[in-house]
Amino acid sequence: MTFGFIRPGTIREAIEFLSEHKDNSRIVAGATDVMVQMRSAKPAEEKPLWLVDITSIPKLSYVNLENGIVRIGAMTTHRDVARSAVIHDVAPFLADACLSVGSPQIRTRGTIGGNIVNASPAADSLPPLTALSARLRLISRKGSRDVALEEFFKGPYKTIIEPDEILEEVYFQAPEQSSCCAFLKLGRRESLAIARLSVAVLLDVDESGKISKASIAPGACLPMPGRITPAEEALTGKTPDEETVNLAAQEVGAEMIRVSGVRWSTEYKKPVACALTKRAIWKALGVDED
Amino acid sequence: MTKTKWVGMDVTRIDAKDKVRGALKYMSDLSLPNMIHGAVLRSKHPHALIKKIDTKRAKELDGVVTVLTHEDVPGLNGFGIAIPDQPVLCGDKVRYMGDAVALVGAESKETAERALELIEVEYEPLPLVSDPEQAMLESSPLVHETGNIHNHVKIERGDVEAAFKEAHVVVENTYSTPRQMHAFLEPESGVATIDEDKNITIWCGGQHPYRDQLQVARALGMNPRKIRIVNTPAGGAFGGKDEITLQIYLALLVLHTGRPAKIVISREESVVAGMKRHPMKIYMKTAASADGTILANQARVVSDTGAYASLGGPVIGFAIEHSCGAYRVENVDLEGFCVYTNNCVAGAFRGFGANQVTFAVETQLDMIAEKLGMGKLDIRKKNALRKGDIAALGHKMEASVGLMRTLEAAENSRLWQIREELKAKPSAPHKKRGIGIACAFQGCGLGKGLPDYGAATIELLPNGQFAIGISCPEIGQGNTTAFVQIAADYIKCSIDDIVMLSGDTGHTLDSGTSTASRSIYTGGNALKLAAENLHDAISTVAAEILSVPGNDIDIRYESAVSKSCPEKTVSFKTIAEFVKKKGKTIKSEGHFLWPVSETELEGYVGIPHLLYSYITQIALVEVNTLTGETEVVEAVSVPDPGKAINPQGVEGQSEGGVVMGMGYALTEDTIIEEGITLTRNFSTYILPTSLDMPHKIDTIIAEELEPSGPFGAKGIGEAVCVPISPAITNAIYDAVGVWMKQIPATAERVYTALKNKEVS
Repeated sequence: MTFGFIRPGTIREAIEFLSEHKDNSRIVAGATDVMVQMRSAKPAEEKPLWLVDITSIPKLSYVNLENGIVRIGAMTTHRDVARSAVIHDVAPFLADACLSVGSPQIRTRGTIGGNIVNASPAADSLPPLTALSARLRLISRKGSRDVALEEFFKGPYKTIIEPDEILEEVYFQAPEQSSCCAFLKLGRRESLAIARLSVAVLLDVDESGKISKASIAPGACLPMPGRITPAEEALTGKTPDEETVNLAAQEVGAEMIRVSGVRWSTEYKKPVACALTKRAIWKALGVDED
Repeated sequence: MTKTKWVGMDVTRIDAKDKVRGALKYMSDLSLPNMIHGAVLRSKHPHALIKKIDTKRAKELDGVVTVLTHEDVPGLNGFGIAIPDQPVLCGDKVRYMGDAVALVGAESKETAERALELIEVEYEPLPLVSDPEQAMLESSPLVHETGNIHNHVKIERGDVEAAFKEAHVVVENTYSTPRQMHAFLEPESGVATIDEDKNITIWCGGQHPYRDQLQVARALGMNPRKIRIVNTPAGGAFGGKDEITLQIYLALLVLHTGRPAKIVISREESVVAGMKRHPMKIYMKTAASADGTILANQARVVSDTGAYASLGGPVIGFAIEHSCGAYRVENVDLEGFCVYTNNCVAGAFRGFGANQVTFAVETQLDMIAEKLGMGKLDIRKKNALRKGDIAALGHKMEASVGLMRTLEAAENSRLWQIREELKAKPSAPHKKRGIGIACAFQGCGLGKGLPDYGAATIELLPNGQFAIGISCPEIGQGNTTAFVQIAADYIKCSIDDIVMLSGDTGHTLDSGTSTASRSIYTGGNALKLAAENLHDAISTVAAEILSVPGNDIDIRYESAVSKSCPEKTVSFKTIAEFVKKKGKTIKSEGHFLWPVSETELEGYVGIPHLLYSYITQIALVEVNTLTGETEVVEAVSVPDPGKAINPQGVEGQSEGGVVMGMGYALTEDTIIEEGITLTRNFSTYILPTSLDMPHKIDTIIAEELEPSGPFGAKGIGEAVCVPISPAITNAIYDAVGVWMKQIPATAERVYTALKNKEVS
């Protein structure tokens, strides 16, 4: 199969090219998935496929905090997100999630934007971004639009992005100083592990010790990213104790079955999802058992 | 024992610098001017008749140089170390998804791959058999006309039934083991060239260049002398490159086109087409007396060799030989079946059938100790083989036996001594720790009844250095560094004055395989004989130079000395110059034939062995009771390699072996359903990474010198990956009280076992 390769230096150049070649272009945002897919691609296509590598566009790689909004350029690598002082300060669970991606090589190539648009149900950055109620800015020659992360996905590996659009940035309101968070992941090994289950927990605890706000987003057990409202409700307004936390964790397992049904792996995944959520809530609250 | 200058010292690998600098060219790095690129068309079905192969469209594609099918194989269309039952290119039937149907040579790799898509093959799918026990039934589809049972082994001694009646404790279980992948870093790859006289040279990672030469010659119908095979360096092998991989395809391409050729296959193709470890189902019943003496062992082992035999026959024999562990057992009833299925071919793999049965028998032993309230180390000491004992097959342990030495060193290890203290401190309340111990022995060499020999050459070079040649390839195990050390001590020179030639039929004599924990023992012994002959030749020249009688010469370090007049000396370098001036050379050869056991088992070859390496390994694990995940926190590995030629090389083998055995115990399995491989690359085939390794692996070398070995050496390449697997599963029991009878003991399996235990 013949591939064309282009590496635009600016956003304008990229979107101009895409508007011309939107039917046969594929965006390269780190190539950690595209390369694998290309190797197994069937040859003998009529039109050459254009690979549009946007990782070299300097204006797409940044992490900053302004007026309480954290903005991450789509081409910021997992490594850079994981090392960002801003992220460590306002949302350390996102740094943990990005640090759990693949291996050092993959984290140095792969980008947060690539992770989002690839839309794998097991994507590591999505649970914390979902818990943070992140929003996305998409841009094309026609202009730009903003969508909520949760509205971006249509299903596994499916999103609403148009073929002539690129993801410019992901942004979210920096959580309150009083908030706490945790990300936990279960893989089949310690590194280079695709998540079998993961969970991101973001809590706000008021002065009386009650949970005033809760946000819980699991990964790898739902077809697309989403928060578990019943679990969040189980925690909100409560002083966290063993029973409350268990109840919230049970809701995650129940939601998993409600959405994905009972599968061969459910017998293992349901109790383990509960256990993982429980530990993540306690970890966010400062009780780390690992 | 002879005093040594190099043997027993930590010596940096001779290939280390080139490897870390990236300067070493592996087979996949080679390219030749004007070469074509090859690609192999694999089967579309796990079991089917081939009705028609049409290569017309592929041949018409621009850039395609040749498209070859079974009709283009000039000699025997088959290969296989034991029997040539695997077609080079299938003509009438395919038996697994890795079967080769056609071969393309093209101007580029991309064109070759594109041409594969244009080859039209008409198949008539046949019912398939994927379960080896079902394959044994009369009603099963036949993979081969000759029947699905490729090999049957049955050994009986004493009276097991009487022993089961008398015994204080009897344990009976069924075990199953996975299809482990060799996962060498370099997938099968190579290049080849042909000259105007049709002499073919093939560079391709392998483990026995002279056997590759014969297999290629047989398929081409050519004189083997016209074929040169270079196997060194291979980017890892572990048994997975013992059989023919691409050698014949490379030869066919150069033969039919007259141009050099290269083939590098992808990881995915390697996973589907390449060899694996035999999955086995093991039924085992073991009896012991009240004091822990093993009275009897009954085993029935069914081994899945996949579509073709390769070394499946010898592997089941080896498994039976090792199925009672490294222990004395007087009453045995051992039966093994090697069965064809439509799964991926299984063949040689580090451990060669010992891994599977050792997992079973070492678990049985722990269960017996548990029932008797006996210590896990004590029961092993009680039954451990000692020199002079009669082993399970009725053969006497005539050679060195180091098992007790490894058990004692294991007992004195830090991990064993402070185990209770370490177990008491898990890293979290929901995690539980346990300790496990297991032993193994591993037959070295090819065993009784198979020709096992090796040759070495030494040449005094004009500059005073020595070129040594041994054909056992360097597959990453470090044998070339050990050969250099052995040679320097036998020749009496510096290791810096040795030039090593390895794995090349053009420059080395046949030394046999780099398999079966045999290359150091074989090559070392051949070097010893070659050095004696070399010294004779050097003495003759030295006598001439020093004007003394030939029998007056003594060989010292780097020089020859007159015994009667010790001030008369001449250096090897001067001797080399003298010889060169006379237009002569000093070359010597050493030919070594393996000793074998006195016991002959009628009807069987390859068993029993005379020499064994021994090993005890300990694992400290931590089991997460919420997820079922097992982490190996620490391990101790106590091998008896005989003399450790290069102790840091033994440590390297030991650490790599521990991690390979850990992957086998916890995560690794090539999953094939209905003939289709589901774990096609390393994202789903779960190899341990550096972060999964135990935080600490202590290797304690327990040398029990073998009098017949070079400086007392035996072999250690395989044993190091064997008992660690049951040590880990035994540790899981110690931690959380569940016996894992199926490996890999994945998180789900451990979690399910924990739940089932709660219920009962």
